[in-house]
Amino acid sequence: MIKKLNENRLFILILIFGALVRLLYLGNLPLGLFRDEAALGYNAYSIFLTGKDEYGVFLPLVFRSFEVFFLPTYVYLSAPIVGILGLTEFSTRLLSGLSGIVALIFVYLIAKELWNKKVALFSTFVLAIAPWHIFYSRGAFEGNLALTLFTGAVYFWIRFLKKATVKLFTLSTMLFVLSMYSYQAERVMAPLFGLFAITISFKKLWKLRRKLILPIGFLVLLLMPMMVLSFTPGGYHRAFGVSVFSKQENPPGYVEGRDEGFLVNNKVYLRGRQVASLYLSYFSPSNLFIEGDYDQQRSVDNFSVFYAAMLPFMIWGFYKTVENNKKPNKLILFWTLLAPVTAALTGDPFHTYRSLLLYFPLTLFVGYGLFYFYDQVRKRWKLPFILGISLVFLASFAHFVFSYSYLTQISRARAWDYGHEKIVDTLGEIEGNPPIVVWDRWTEPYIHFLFFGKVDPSTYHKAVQAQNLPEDYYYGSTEEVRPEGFANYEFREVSWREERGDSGTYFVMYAEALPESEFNTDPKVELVREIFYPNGKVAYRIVRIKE
Amino acid sequence: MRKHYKLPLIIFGGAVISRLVGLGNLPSGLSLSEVNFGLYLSNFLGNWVLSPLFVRLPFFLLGIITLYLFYLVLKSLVDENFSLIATGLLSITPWHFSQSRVFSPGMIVFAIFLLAFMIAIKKGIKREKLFYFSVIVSFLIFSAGILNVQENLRSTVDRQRRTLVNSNLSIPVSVFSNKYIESYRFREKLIFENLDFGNYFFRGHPRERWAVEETKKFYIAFIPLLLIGLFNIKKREAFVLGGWTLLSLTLISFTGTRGPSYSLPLIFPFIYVISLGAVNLYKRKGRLGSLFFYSLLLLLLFEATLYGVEYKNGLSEGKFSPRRPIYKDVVEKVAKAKPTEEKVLVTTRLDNIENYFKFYLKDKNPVDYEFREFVVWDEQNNDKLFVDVLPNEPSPVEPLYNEDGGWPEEISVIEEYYDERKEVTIVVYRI
Repeated sequence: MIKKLNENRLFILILIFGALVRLLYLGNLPLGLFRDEAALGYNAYSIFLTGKDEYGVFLPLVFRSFEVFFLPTYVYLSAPIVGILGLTEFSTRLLSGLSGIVALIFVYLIAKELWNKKVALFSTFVLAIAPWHIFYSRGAFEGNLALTLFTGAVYFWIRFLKKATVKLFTLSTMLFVLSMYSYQAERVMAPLFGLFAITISFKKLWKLRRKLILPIGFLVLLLMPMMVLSFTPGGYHRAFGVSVFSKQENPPGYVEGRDEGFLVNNKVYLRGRQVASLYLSYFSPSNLFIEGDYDQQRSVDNFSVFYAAMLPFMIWGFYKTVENNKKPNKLILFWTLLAPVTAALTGDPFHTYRSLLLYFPLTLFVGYGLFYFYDQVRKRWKLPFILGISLVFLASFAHFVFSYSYLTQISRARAWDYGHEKIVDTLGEIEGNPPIVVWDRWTEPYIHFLFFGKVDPSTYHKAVQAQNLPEDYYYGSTEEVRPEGFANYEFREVSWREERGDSGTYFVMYAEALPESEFNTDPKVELVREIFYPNGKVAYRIVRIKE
Repeated sequence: MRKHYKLPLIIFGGAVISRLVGLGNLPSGLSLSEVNFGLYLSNFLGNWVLSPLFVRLPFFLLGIITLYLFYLVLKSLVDENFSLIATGLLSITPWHFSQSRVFSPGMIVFAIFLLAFMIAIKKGIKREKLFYFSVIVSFLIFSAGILNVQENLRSTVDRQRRTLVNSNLSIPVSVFSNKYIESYRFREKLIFENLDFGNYFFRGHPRERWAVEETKKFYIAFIPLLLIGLFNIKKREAFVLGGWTLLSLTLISFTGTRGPSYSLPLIFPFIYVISLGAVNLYKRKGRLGSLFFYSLLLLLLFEATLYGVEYKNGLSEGKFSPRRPIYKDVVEKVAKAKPTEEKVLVTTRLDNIENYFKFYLKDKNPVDYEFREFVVWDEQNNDKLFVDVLPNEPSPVEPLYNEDGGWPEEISVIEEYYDERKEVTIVVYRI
């Protein structure tokens, strides 16, 4: 059947389908705009208009927003998109969506290089409907861009293994370096993977050694800023700040109140066991197919990263890849084993975003496993096999679409910082410039105000620079640096009992922080607007203290 | 010949001794199932059976029997040497060891599985046939499980439907959010939970299964052996192990239980593959292979010793352990403090306390004891011994609440106990 349809046409069909799944309603789905997305979008906007980031720093190597440090590729590549299309949720997420589509092409190409066109088609289909890839392609996630760049690098290296040319070497290494400038996990993963890739292709590299001097020199030049940056707190903060070894708590299994000894409370053993368990949790079928990420923002109701029906194919594909001792297969296996290392060292259980690199080779295994089963069945059973599998996978996909598009958007609206656009719209209608205080204990509303208010970056830069920011705060300090406010806005905690008498002031607060009972009997307090979550519960309250 | 005589003796002798030592006291305290089992047995055998040792003895015996059956099955499937190695590993495995020392229905299931499998082998039934049989039975069990919708799943469906009430999606909602889909997902989740090696090697870390009693099941030293074993399984072995695993998993999904007991039959494929890995690693030539093998052996020795120490000190008991050692102390204290004629009023706010009293008093109708919820200040007759409870977070609505943090002046405390697992304080007092 596949032959009749023509493999190339089938690939294009799958690609179009994958593109639609990734781009349709991108601006509204997911509902809300997470603070990190807003930060990426606003910084891209600021770079496009002024060449400076939100703090007014000219073309930085690391972008900082609140306590988070972003690597720069996403912002720089997004800058023209946001500049041309305007600062919206759609334009901010578009680069990630496009990366997702490019990844579909790379999965096809890699599987074709490793195995054959049929495996490539199966793998592309699996990636096109994979929950993890749809989810991360529909949000502004710089890790998704990094994954695509890394995948491209691997593809060109596999080509290099077959036909060693300077062009392929340069393409591959450039993409590796670019991925290192895109997301933290790749900063560790790309050099280690590169070392392995060099080891298995040493003879070919040695033959080309003279021709490679120039590209290698160029690469070193590209890597220099990254190396320098790695020694600044801004450069290593994310890596060390979240490490399992930097955490104060004792490892699991430690018995409080008992001395440390060889048998009881042996920290070397317990810490080793903890890291081993974190590492292996990334291969746990329960996590991969059922449980999903522990964080509300990074998970979908009822789904994990893969569909449960994919398990047997993944196991079989992995098994068959191990059996075959080809060099490209070794590359993929090394990729699989290395991918969760950085995530495992951070101490959080099954963090899907930090382990995004893992799911790509696992997708390849599912594709290969599917092909293997398809190949094994007798000729007359091939069509029923394809139809049956497609039916099961598409039913799972339909369930996923339902859960993602409706259930998750309602149940996780808060985790996605839903409601800020409406707040900004409401406050934008207020005449004059009354003082507006925004309660910011649980989130970073200032970035949403910048984003949805489309605040002119030059004006904001002046406001930020007028504040007393610590010296060398940008790369040299990991302290959370938050602007106190701009124009007539203040972002801070609110002491309601003390401030409820401040005439003329507007307060924006989470509904829990300002229950109705706190103001509904007070004639001085006017409820301006309540912002509701999609489930009908009040999310925020905007109140005004009357003159 | 001499060698084969000594090794089984060491394995079985060691297993008997390690499982029998302190059986009545370790692990400390009884679970409600153990208490109920004892009370049930006493109907036929009399009150003398109401002791922890007697309640646990059948499972100790089943533990030894399953070891022997395991040895016989593997001897028929592979050979005696492999069988001895695997039985040796099974005997020191925390999972089998701990389940041999407590009331464990899973141990009964494991014994039945082994027995049935041995009969099938003796009858000469082919492994492929056994595999296909288990696939069919598993499918039927799983389907029956789906149709048997649990009550709490209906409320999950209701919740989802309430969430989507304004969405105008009546068809997708009825397709994707219904009791059978939820029942399927629940059974599927149980199966995948039991495929999670975190629960086997890391006692639930990094994701604790809330409210599930986690027991240490295997040693970390087994992980490399398991991986080596997995890549050395032959097709004929895969049929047996695959069928066994499938059947065990679907049975767990059918019972709907989450814990170390009902999943015990899964120990068979695990130990089989681990032993396969051990044998393959041992046979591997070269220094690196030997170094790895002996390093693992050292790690295994360390872990086994560590486990022994933990078990002896009660540290192997998880947060959600069903055993309640405090209850034994409470009953003994009350029995000691109570004069012959004095009445005792015990609050039923303490979970199933009545059964524990009956068990430890070795009396199924303790006449001087009354069990019910009460507020001590409302009692007409205060001339009693009270067994009462104060929750972890005292509040003014609690009868024994006192602003100063002590007990009210009117009561004379005889003893107080803090139950760490339930996070409540139990107090024995008079007015």
